[in-house]
Amino acid sequence: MPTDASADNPFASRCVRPGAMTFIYPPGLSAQRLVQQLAQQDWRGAIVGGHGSGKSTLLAELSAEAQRAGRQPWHVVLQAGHRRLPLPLEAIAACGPSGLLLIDGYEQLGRWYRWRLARHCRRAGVGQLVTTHAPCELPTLLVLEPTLELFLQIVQQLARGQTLPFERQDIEAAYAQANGNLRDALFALYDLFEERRAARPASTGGDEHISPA
Amino acid sequence: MIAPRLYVQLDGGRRVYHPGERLSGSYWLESSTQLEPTAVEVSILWHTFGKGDEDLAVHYFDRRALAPHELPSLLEHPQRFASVLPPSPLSYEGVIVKIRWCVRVRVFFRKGKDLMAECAFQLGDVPAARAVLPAERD
Amino acid sequence: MPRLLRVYGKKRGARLTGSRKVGAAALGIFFAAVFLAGGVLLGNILVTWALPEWRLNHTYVQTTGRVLAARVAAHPSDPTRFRPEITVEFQAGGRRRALATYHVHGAYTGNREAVAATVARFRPGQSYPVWYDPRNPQRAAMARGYTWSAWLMLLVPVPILATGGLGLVYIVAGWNKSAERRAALAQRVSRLDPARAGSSTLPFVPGETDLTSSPGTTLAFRLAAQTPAWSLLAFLLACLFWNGIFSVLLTVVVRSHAAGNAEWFLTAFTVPLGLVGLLLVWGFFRHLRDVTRVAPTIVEVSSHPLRPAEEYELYVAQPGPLHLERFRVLLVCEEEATYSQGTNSRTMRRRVYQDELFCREGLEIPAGTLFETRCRLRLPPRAMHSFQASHNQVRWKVLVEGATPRRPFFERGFTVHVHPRANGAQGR
Repeated sequence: MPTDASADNPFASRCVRPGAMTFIYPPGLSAQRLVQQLAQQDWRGAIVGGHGSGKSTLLAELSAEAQRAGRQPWHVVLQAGHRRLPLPLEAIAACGPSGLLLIDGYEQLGRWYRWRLARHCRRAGVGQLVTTHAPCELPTLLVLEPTLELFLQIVQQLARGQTLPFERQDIEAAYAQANGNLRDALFALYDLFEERRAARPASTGGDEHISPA
Repeated sequence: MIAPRLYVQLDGGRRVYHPGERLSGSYWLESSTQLEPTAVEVSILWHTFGKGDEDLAVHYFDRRALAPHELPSLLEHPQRFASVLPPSPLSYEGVIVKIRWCVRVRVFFRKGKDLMAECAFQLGDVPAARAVLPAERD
Repeated sequence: MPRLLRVYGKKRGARLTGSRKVGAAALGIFFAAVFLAGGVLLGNILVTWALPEWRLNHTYVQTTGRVLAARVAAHPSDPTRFRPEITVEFQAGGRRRALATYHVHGAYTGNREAVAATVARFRPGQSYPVWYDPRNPQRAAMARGYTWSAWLMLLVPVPILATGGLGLVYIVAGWNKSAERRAALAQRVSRLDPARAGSSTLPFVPGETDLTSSPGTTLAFRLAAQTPAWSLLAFLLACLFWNGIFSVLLTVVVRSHAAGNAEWFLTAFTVPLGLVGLLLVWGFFRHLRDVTRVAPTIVEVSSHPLRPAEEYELYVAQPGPLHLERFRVLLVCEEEATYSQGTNSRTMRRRVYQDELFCREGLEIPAGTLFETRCRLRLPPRAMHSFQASHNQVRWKVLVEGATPRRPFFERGFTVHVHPRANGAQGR
């Protein structure tokens, strides 16, 4: 019989991907305030943080907030080795004067290309909001520095009232091993959830697993 | 006005099927007649769940555009669907890869968000898997 | 996006998302522009090359004209390009006409000798056939036939038009649609892709043709090993490329020193390059040693693909020389999941089944000999079949492991495909 959906692993990729989770803001900050700050910076800003610090998640939230503020978001995700956007710079103008180009992985772009991109955006009136591992030529909007307390809040949010099969020290250990990479820590909890669930006594539904004949 | 609700049910309350078997069921909408549905989509699909990005594939897809006069029949009578299930992929509760089948129904309205309901079922009888080695480094 | 359109290299490349409607509209504009560009190019080729040639050969009227002059004419702005220019006088449309022409599209070429040879065929004062356009007798030519390059050029705008056109079709087809509807559309297109995993009878299950196995010599099928040949080749190419550049620079540096005109900056630059080159060479030979220290293992199976609850015979052969503390053959099942978040893309694996088919402690295989063994392989009655999708896989393998006292542990994997039971009932 299929596993009860209510016992689904809350740390699966579909639950932790950017856009699926609600970003937990530092005290005194909100999506609205950040977008207002971005507007004051002439719609140019960078979210700075290490691997797995929540940059992509925040970018997804600010995208929705920027749209409510009247900007039209265009979201680009760059991966390692990709040094250009997946569209010609000349097409930036198609984003329109109320456009906002959101680039996840800005540091992948070469300096010369970034300069040309900035020039095209300025000409077209298109804003830029990017994620990057280190400060860049764009004004910094927010620096993300994960903490254990933040991670505990994230775990609580993902659990959604479900009783998790591990203790606080397990969560702390996962965070410590991940060296501040929240994504790795969440995936470590995924593995732990599966291990503990498999170790639970078989239910009347028949918790079988395949074994050698 | 009552908020609309969409229901999906498989015949006989079955949840476990085998490849080649005929899956059938019905769906119905509970709502006031103030709404204007424009189309209904019924899909029988599988999707993955786990640590990887989601894969999804549709085995059966039926879309019906609705005329305004068809709304009463949608509200009063359960609508039927049926399809013969494929030989693969079977439902699978793995450790980092899980494959799940479901029937998903969407109703689109002229105004407002579309409504979605789904009913999960199992294809095949592959038992749940367990890791035999500790998680390895990537 | 359908696999047919790899405009953005979706899986491991950049992804473009945004407001779906506005995004689709902008993409639509982009594809429309590409389609328009292709159309303009095609139109230009048709109007300036293909159509005039066709009309010359089908509708032009033949008459006789007298050549007044013949010369090799240079391009007004490019003196290296030439064309024949034959001034001819002929009767057309009730009037006497004289014009300089040769071919209907008047193209220039860099081959002056060929043009001169053409001109030499026409002698002033002599009569030659002339073909003129009955709709406009001022258009005439001294030669007929087809220029194959003109017609080949029609193929040039085809990929541009196809990209733009297919893109537009995709945008229109995917406009404002649910995820299930888009997936259903994409699957209809992907069925045309011969490289997709699975067949129409077993969707998303790798078939026999997905494995590069060959007929066995002892049993029916020989399984292909997952060899690191590609990584070795890549290493070799990197090594050759880098050291090729280094050797050129080294030559320049040595010559400059020998000539008493030492290039010190270049010398300083060459030193770290040389160190990297040496490191690459060392790395390559180490990798080569790792790959070749143990001779290839041969694994054959009595039947393939495999099915749950059925039994098969397995044949394993390992050439020497080898001194192994332990030699094992395992049947394993692994799950593989790839996830992309932010700028990272990672693949995770988990072993979810393991069955030891054979184990021998303290195995000595002398040089020139072959250790052979046969064992039985039986899949559990309700084993999961092989599964392959874009980001998630379930893969079965025969693993051959060898543990040695001094050399590193070796492990070779041989992929096998497991299909669902034919009657659809897993082990029932």
